[in-house]
Order: sequence, then structure tokens, then C-alpha cells
Amino acid sequence: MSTPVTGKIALVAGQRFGPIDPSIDNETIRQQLVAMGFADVAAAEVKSRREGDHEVIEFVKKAGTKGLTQGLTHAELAATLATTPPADTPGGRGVPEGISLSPNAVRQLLQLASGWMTCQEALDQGLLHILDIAVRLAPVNGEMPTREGELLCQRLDQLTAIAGPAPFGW
Amino acid sequence: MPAPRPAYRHRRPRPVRLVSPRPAFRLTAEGLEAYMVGLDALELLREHFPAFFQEHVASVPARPEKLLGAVTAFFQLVERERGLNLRWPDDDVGSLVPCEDPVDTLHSFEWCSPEFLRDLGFFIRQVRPVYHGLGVQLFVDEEYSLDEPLQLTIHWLLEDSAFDIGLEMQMVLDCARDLSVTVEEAIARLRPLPAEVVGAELFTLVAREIPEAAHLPRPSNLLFYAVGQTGNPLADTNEYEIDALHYGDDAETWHWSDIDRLAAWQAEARAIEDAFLAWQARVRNAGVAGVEEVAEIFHRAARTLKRRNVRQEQTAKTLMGVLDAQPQLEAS
Repeated sequence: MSTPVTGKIALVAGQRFGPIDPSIDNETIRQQLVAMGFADVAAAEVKSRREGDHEVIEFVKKAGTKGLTQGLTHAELAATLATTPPADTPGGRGVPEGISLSPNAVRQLLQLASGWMTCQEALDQGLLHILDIAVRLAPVNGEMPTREGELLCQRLDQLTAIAGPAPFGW
Repeated sequence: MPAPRPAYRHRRPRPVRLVSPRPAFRLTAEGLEAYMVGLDALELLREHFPAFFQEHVASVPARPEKLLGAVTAFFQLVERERGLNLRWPDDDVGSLVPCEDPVDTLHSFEWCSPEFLRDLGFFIRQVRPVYHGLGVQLFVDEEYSLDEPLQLTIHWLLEDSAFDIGLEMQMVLDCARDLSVTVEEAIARLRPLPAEVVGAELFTLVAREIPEAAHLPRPSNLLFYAVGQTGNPLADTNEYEIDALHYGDDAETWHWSDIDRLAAWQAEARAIEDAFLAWQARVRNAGVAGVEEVAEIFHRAARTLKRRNVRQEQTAKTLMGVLDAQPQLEAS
């Protein structure tokens, strides 16, 4: 008789996440991973196997398909941010014209917000500088200084609303 | 026949709550600023406590609750490893209570609000050391709220000098609430010191007769401390004065690169404060005799200086006389 599963391990593109509470179903984990930026997981095939006390849930990308997610993917968001000029907002905080975050910076910000970046990575990848720019784009008292900031915050809020401060019970 | 209801094209998104019913850490400007405060703390940990950072912090996920732990652990390490006591956030902001071990502190928070973490920026972007001054300026600003016989005696004796704090001492004495009538009368009977003898030399002579000053590297600081002029910023001011000076929200001028310099100043300030408080308690307990003894020490030192000055004056005059006589001698 096998011992009960004490946790699940999510395996995506060679990265392992977990252990995750075994009561959380695979679809919820899939949503979480999509929210964290693994767009391909949305349409990926799920393979499950046992490893000791853990159940390994592997998300295998289907050949020939592109990841489908609800809302904006990282790439879409980054592309939008890169091409959207900042709008003038009367009475706003005076975001300088042309201020924007590179697609890579947005990706790093999302990674930080999702809770999967380590402290060392946060420092090494210059997140302070990225946050410094992002904070000038973000809303204050509900006012959105730019369309660019609005898009960024929508995506980040969406992500953190799903993930919460401690995704996967880490 | 009723029209068929259109079916949902998409499945309704199911509510997702993976772990916690707590509110999400929303990334508004406030949330982003909170992250910045946490990252500032990480930078400081890496710069000032590299071994601790590498061993315990580097691989920890940079999540709000861990960043709050990093802020707290940094304050704790500054105090424990570098010997600089800090003014921690007060109840207006929210208290931080570290664990015994800084590593446990790092992991001790389950959640934090972005507002709280952001507000800690005030404490992480500047050093807020503990001050040990007597609050002489506060005493002057608030006027007439001093009841300590030693301080009243010193200010009374120095009233005519350059160290006068600018208050009418008789009024100060009249308004002292917790002072016995006999002590008050004893102070009122004292003669202020002549202005020309009051200075570093006098303080040095006085300090030689105060046992509490004996172990201080510069004993005269005990007297300079009483008038807020030791030259040590952490000994000349107290935290109420600092908060009033900066209106509670302006930055003090200290940076984290000043940790060691501040720690040295603070150790000296603490030693002076301890010595002064011990002297103050001794005088208070001795009542009238304590006041009279202090006055006698000051006046004795003043007499010594006067005699020395007179001798120096005579010597100078004698020398001048000799010099004046030289041309006459040569001429004759």
C-alpha cells in the first residue's frame, strides 16, 4: 500500500515549483503558472507521476501550439508597453515623456511580483531601478498617470490578485 | 416557444484562493514603493553584513513579508553587530519586534501591508540613532520645567557666563515644582561665577573633583554635557529635540556609511550620560548639602583660575617691565 502524497511538484520547462498543497487541483496550478508568465502551460498537456511522497505534475507543451491565456501575455504586455507613448495627464505626477519599461524590465517586474525571484536576483537584476520607473507609472489615489502605467498595473494587479502574497504556500 | 438562452461561450473563471484569505499585495504606486523599501534593506544587508546576506538572505524569495523581515533583521544586526542603537518605528507606524536570532527575524512575518512596508522607508533611508543629550534646548524652549537640583545649580552658577542658557534663573527656580523649599533657597543663595573664569579650564578643574567623571576619557565633558556643548552630536541633543528640529519627517543627516562613527559617538555619549545621571542622583539625594558641595567645587576652581590669571598677569607685567627697561639699560 502506497503512502499518501504529501505534496505536489509542478514541473514546467525544466523548472520545479513546490511542494504544493496536494489538495490544490491541477487546473488551479495551471492557472497559477499561466499567471506567473508560463503562457505555454495554458494549453499544455499534464502528465502526472509519483516521486517518493510527492506527485510530480509535468506540464508538457503541445507541439505546434502557442500558449493561450486570458488577458495579456508577458510578450503582449511588453510589446504594448514598448510601443505605447505615455499620455499627458493634467494634474498628474508629471511622468516625463518617453519614460517606459523595456519588455525585459516588465518581465522582471512580473517575476518579482509573482514571488519567485530571490533576494539575490532582485538586486542583481537591478529591480530597484525598474521599480523606480514603474512607480512613476503607477496610479496614485486612483489616478493613472499614463496609459502605459494603466496597462502595467492592470496586469500586475491581475497577477497578484490570483497569486496572493504567497503562491503555492511557500 | 421561448428562444433558447445563449449558452456561455467561456467557462466562468473559478475563484482562486491558493493559500491565504489575506488581501493581495496590490501593485499600485504604494505597493511598488513598498518593494523599493524592501530592496533598499536588501542592499544594505548585502553591503554591511555580506556574510549574513549570502548565507541567509540571498536565496530567500523577495516577497513582501520576507522584505519586511529583511528590514527588521537589518536594524537588529546594526544594533547587535555594530553596536549602534537605533530609534525604531514607533506605534504611529507600527512596531517591529525582532526574534532573538536575526535569521528567525527574517522569516518571522507572515504578511505585511504595503502601507507599512512603504512607511518603513523613512527608517531605512536614513539612520535614526538613539540620542543621549539632556535636552538643554528643549528646556529652554519649553521654559521653566526643570526640577533637578544639579542642573539648576549649574545653570545658576553659569548665569553670567558665555554658557548662560538665556533664561531668567530666578523664574526657573520659582517654577520648579518638585524642588524642596530648602534646596530652592540654597540655590538662590549661591553667587554666580565671574564670567571671565568660566570655560574649558574651569570645567577641567571641576571635573577633577567629581568622582563620576573620573572614568571618562575627557572628564570635563561632564560639565559640557550639562550645557549641551560636548561637541558630540549624540550627547548634545536628545531625540525630542531632533524630532522637533526635523518636524518628524525630514531626514536627519546621517547615512548608513556613518554607522561606525555614530556607534563611537553613541558609546561616548552613553558613558557621559550615565556619569551625569549618577552625579545628578547623588546631588539630589544629598539635598542642600549636595547643592552646596557642587557650588563649592565650582567656586574653588574659579578661585584657582583667578589666582593663576593674576599670577600670569603679574608675570606678563614683569616681563613687559624688563623689556621696557632694556633700551634705557642699553642707552646708559
